[in-house]
Amino acid sequence: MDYILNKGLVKAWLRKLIKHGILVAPIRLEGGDIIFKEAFNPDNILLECKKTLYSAKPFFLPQEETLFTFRERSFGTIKEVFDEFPRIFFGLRPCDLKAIIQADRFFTENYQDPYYRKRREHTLLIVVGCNDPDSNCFCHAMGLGPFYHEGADIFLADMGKSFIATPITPNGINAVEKYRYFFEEATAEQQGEKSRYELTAMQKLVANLPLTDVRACYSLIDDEFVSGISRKCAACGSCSYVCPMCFCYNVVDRENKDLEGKRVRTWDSCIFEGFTRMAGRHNLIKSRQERLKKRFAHKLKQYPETYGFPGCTGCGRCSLTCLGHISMLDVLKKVTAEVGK
Amino acid sequence: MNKNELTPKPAVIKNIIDETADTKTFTLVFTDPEEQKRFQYKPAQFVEISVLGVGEAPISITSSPSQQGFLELSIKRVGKLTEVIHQLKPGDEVGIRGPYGNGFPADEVKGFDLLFVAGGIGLAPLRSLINWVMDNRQDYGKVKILYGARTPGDIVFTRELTRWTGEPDTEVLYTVDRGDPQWQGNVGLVTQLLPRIELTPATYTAFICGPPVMIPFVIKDLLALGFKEENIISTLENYMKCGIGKCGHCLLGGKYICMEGPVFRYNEMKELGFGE
Repeated sequence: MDYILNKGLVKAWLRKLIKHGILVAPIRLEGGDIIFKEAFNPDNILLECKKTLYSAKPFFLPQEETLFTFRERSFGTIKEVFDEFPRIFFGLRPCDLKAIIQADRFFTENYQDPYYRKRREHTLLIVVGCNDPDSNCFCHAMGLGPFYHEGADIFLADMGKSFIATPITPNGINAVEKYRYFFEEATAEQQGEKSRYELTAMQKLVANLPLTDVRACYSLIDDEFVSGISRKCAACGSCSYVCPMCFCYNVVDRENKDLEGKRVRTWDSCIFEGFTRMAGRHNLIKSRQERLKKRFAHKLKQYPETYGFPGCTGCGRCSLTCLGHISMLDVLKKVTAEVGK
Repeated sequence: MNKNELTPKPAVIKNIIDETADTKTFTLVFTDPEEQKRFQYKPAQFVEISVLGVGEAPISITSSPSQQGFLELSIKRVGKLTEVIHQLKPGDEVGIRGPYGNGFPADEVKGFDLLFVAGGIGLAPLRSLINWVMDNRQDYGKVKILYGARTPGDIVFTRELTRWTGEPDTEVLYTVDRGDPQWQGNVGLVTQLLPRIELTPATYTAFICGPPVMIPFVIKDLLALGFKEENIISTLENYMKCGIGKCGHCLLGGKYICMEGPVFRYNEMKELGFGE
């Protein structure tokens, strides 16, 4: 069932929900950047805003997380560290959501990663549809869309003065039913209006990029093409850092003078030369060009082969952050034009 | 499954053998006897060895599964972690995670004649399989072992090279890139030993392990001799961090080498883009 949630009541509802966990929502920083941040009360969160600078990835795979601590290099002192705080995410976009659902598969298939699983177990995902995708967005071409919500606990469609709320999972239904007095049942007319918002947003996305067959695109990304863009790559790794679908990590030990140590997991990037460098300086992946090609191959070929969809959610954040203006959207535009010929 | 695969299990160093100036073989036994029993491995699987406060690195197991109750790792001093490991003494503890990787297909090659071609410390994983074969000699045909080291001082497992020479149906040849005044043996690349042994490529499976520069040359020569691609088995040298197909470092051609490898037949290696 769909409900109407007046925008004036959203923060009152969230104030109830934060009794059950820490609220994470879009917040405008002093410099103007908008990011997902933990909010101790909902006053300063943004109910409507442009895409956040980063996805919600840092809350599931932190840039640096402690796996365990130890003292004096002794194995008997190892203490594993888990983050089991319940968190309520508000304002996730479809691109953020899809990446979390993929991380669920990645970190629980074959091997259950306890650090990820414990973080993820106690979360409520409230997704807000995108009425106004920006010029870097192309989630529709990656199989999503402005109102994509598979895996969300609650989906909210922005109707201007109110949201239409669709609780999906038992947890989502519970979060609405428990505070039912904030919600009214949506009429058929309001539901129709929701579809119009979705169509309008979809048109903006299609204007950015026609629908694409990602695998056909990949076949056109040849050495010459990659060589051209690799000259602009600064090998800074920021594309991986902002990518919600990049999960590669490194594991390193840190120790202070008092021999208190910890083993941490940190983000890593296949764009770094040291990513594949071994002892004795052997490196199977020799050039920046090969590293970039490997990145495209992983996202546009191997991901579809393994999971049935690309390793990209079309969020466009890599285009925004790249120092060399290498843009996944531009890459796909260019090769899509080739496919069309 | 609630097990935390990323936390290493402590193991005590029982013995240390100096193989060469920069390589030592460590005998390890898990501190927890239950863990020691649980730890079953295949030849050439690898472990992640840890020194807390320094880090961890993948090292292939050099002992044979036919010898139970301990494991042996031969470690060359090449970086920060291995430097620290080389300073450890018997009685010290290290951390072990694993075993990881697919290991050598010891069962699939039963009945075959076996050719081993090793370079440098690459003999360590092959030694695991060679000793397995020696302990199950009736299951395998002829054995030829070719080994190349940089200098006479770099030859590892000298005691076993001698012992294998005395085994039935076994031929061992070794060579060095550069000799010294006392050296009476072969000088030259390991590939130069190939014409000196009698090989019937149809009955042989070849196992190759060595520095990345060596492997393509050996493969080329074996193909020229008439070896089938699927009867040439090698290990892909690739950096592996987590061992469980997650950290991404070893991803190659869409495959996590730590899970689906590091051992591949040459036809599989080609699919991953090796040797092109």
